[in-house]
Amino acid sequence: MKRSKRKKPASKREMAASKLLASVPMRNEVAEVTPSGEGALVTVPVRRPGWLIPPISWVLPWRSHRRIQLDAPGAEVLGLCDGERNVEQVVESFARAHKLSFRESQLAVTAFLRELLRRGIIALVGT
Amino acid sequence: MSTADAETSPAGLERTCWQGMEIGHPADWEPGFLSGPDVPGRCVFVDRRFQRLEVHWRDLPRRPDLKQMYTRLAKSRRKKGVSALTDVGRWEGFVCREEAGSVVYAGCYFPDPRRLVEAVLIWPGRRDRKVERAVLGAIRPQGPSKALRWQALGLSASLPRDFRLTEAKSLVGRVTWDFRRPGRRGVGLSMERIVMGRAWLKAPLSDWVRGQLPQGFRPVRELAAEAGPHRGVELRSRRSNVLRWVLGLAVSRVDVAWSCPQQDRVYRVGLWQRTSGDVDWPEPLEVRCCRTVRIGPGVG
Repeated sequence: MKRSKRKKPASKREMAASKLLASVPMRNEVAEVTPSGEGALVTVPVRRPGWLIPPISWVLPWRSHRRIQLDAPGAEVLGLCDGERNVEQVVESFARAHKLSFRESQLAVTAFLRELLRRGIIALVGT
Repeated sequence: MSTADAETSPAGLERTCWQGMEIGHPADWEPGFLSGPDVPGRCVFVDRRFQRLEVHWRDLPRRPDLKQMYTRLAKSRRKKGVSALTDVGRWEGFVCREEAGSVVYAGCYFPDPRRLVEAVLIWPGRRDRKVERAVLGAIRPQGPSKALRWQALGLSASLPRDFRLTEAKSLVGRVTWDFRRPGRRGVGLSMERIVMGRAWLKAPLSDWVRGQLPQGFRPVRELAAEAGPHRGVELRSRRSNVLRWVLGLAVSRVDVAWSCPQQDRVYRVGLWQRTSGDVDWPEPLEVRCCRTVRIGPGVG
């Protein structure tokens, strides 16, 4: 069956944007953040997949930790994710620090938070 | 866009100048859409959650009957809560009361450039008439001066009226506008503003400017330039070979870039023309960082 590719109505999109702004980014408690150069190095433990047992594990390399190098603005955004500020406040703080408009900061910060979310460094609470 | 550098309109509103229009709006209504070279022109402003203001305009040789136009439009809405718009100067229109707020439809004809301007204001929740009056009063075509002001998204510039916008790009932290002057030897002008200069500009500014040159351009001459109180760099470059030179297709280019430490921004202005000689900056050409910088020979 063909699925229609209809866009979400504007009200729903606005709702999604409002929800994202209201959600609180929480840092992964087991992620280690160490200063590195101007930025930070984040080490996140990775769960060993169930299928990775000998003899497959003898052949396939597997690392117990994932390391992500953040540049200075990235480390700053991660530093703002203290579990108390919501996304809107993080965006505001970043905008104020770098003399950006809210919208400009929002585009940069939300894209970066999505990346952190994908890599398991943060979780968004309240979405 | 940033309140730090934008000039405000008399009512204390932020000012966006686009395609010959001047639009005053509260600082937290930011441009969500700015029309390209299309006609009619259109600008949309959004706050953090909603679309708040839409302005569109077109040139009309004759004054339309705005009263009749808006009466018809109001009837077509078939809403119970429709009332006439009052106390907004020469603007005509009506207000539509919706469940979650009000929508104001207003129009005005400006006889000087013979332009019809229409605005739609969206008020989620309470309608603020004071702001509404101030916003409508601050929407107008720009005066008939020699230069046209362009001000949006944290970039503000004045350039000769005959330059037409061909492309406007707004990526994260990077705003670029490209203009062309119609004519046989078409002159092109580009302006760029990049935020967080300190964070990403690791190499000297001149290296960065060289890296930004379009394909095929070879640097010819580099000079130090003074952009107001800031030190900058002026780079002249050329795209030419024997065949291009013979056919008259050689292109010369000049780029000026500077970093504004007060704003932590980097600005670049580039000009190119089909010529084998040097290109001259058009007059008047100004870009505003923490202060107005006149771009000319040796830069302002």
